Amino acid sequence: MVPLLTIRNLRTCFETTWGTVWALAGIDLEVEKGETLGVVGESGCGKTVLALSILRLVPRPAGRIVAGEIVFDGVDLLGLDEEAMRTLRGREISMIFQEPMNSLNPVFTVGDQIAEVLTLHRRMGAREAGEMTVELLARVGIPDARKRVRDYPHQLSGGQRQRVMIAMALACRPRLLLADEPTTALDVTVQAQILALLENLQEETGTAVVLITHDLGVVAQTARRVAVMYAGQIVEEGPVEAIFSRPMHPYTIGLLSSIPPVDRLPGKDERLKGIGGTVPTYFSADLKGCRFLERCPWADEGCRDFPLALSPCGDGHYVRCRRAP
Amino acid sequence: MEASSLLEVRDLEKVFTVTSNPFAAKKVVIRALDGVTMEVAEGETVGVVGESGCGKTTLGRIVARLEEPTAGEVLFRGRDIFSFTKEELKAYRREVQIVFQDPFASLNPRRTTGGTIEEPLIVHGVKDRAERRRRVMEVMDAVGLPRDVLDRYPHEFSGGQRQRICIARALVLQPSLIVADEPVSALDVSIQAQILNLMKDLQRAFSLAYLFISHDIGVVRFMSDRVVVMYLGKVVEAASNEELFARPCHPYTRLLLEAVPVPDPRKRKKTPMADTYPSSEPLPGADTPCRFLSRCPLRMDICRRDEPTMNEVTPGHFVACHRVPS
Repeated sequence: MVPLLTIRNLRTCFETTWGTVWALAGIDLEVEKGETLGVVGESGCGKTVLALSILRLVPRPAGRIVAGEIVFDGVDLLGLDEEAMRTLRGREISMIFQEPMNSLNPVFTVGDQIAEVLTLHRRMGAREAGEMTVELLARVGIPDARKRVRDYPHQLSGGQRQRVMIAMALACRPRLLLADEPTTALDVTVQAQILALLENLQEETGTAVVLITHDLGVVAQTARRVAVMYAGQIVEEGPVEAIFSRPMHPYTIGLLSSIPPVDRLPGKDERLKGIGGTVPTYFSADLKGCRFLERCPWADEGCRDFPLALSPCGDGHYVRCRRAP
Repeated sequence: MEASSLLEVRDLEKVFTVTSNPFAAKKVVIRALDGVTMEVAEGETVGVVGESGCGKTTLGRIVARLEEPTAGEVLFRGRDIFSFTKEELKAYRREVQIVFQDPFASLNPRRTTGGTIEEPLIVHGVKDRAERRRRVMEVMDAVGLPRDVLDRYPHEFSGGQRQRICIARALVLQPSLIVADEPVSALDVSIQAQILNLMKDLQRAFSLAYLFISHDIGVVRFMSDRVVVMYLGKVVEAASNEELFARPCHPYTRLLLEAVPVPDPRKRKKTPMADTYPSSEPLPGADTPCRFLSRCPLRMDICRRDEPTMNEVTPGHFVACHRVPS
């Protein structure tokens, strides 16, 4: 089967006062039709820049996509002009963000904002778009939708705003949804509702979802495949069961051992194994070796000099580490 | 009640009066705390868990005496902290310290690490400069800050390092209780693990008690001896760590535990428990006898009439719910 989205050697950099920062240092990734791919990593690993690069929304002039291919449904997005990208965004690929308050316009009603998507992309008339908006709001679980369309964003709770964002993002039944930390700003009980809603809608529309999050629990509960990012690279990728039960990369292993256990009683003196050190923020462009080197318990001299590729280790599982078993 | 109770909170109430928007004349009354009772023993960690708006931060701020309660009392070693004289209050401030959530907002950007950690010593009258220096170095070692950071400013540090500075500042006066309000929520998971380990080490080394406030059930479970679950200004359930997670009784506690995403794909939850949360209401149920009524799958007639009281279901396990027999 031809994947819906294929990313090859994607490199995005930002010019900063301290020099060029490679936010994405060669990303290779595929997303199948209708699947959920979890992208996990900590702050600064490049996971948000990855989503922005796919939509060609990397903030300019500081940031730019330097190299690579983003092939969506047979078309390289990096070769499209701005006009073509505009028709694609929101219709074929949409995105939801972490903080719904910052992504909704405070001076328009939520109904107007959803209807705008429908009139722009689906060429609906005002009346039809209005009806459809009510239907969409009801579909994402907002009670009394006919009244709520006239609300402004500040009149809704955080969970409801995120429901509005989801309604807007799925209004055109896009084939790909990029969800960047969609539940991070929400309470845990609301998070559970929103994740369930996303899953139901996905089954209904067949939309593929790239779920970007720092929360390994959320990934374990929702994704079919997982890509672990560190310092602008994918360090491990594979089926969700493999990543959690047989993690191969020392960073993935460290991340998993950093989470407090939720399903058993921890001992009074129990410690979390975790990972020492902090994420380095700057890498030179000619860096060949492993980016996790400084924090790695397995590292040796050889890790510094050899270019590292994402290598297969069985059953669709890939790891970028020369010391992995 | 245990003899060695360090902190006792009794029937604490805090009411905030706010206007819903700057032009509205109508005032809205928010009961941030509505009769909260709990205690912390010497050297113990009590975890306070709940979602936004449950009052957990207000509780911490009142215990740290950054806020005055509307009613109720807080006893520290048996004495009411709101009837302290000036001198006694100063002594209390040495004993009880607070660590905040956001290490970016809680450090003075114009003060060096050394200056930040030293300030409490100056305020509390440690006159000898060499002595202050010695104690600053001592806590820096204890929290794992290298000595060469002494003259550096907050912007030069990562979130994890900043939180270490905040902890060092709290520790330098050798308190017996630290109120930790979401101390790791702003940190990445690998850094969070480092700080949690550090807090456990410090507790053992300095026999500290923690009032550990967090929305993260995993973190609370990892840190706490006892856990208090709050919902809209009320304590709904309190028990030992082991007991609470093994036998959660209150429907809200169950909903909360059910909602936590387990980092194990083999334990995937299908659909979350039926939850009729009308999230359009900012404070659902704030006026009903049981605050949880509107979301409760087990509600009965009596829940609409009478407010549930705290019952001890097994020794040390308290639940406020009509459905749970005492």
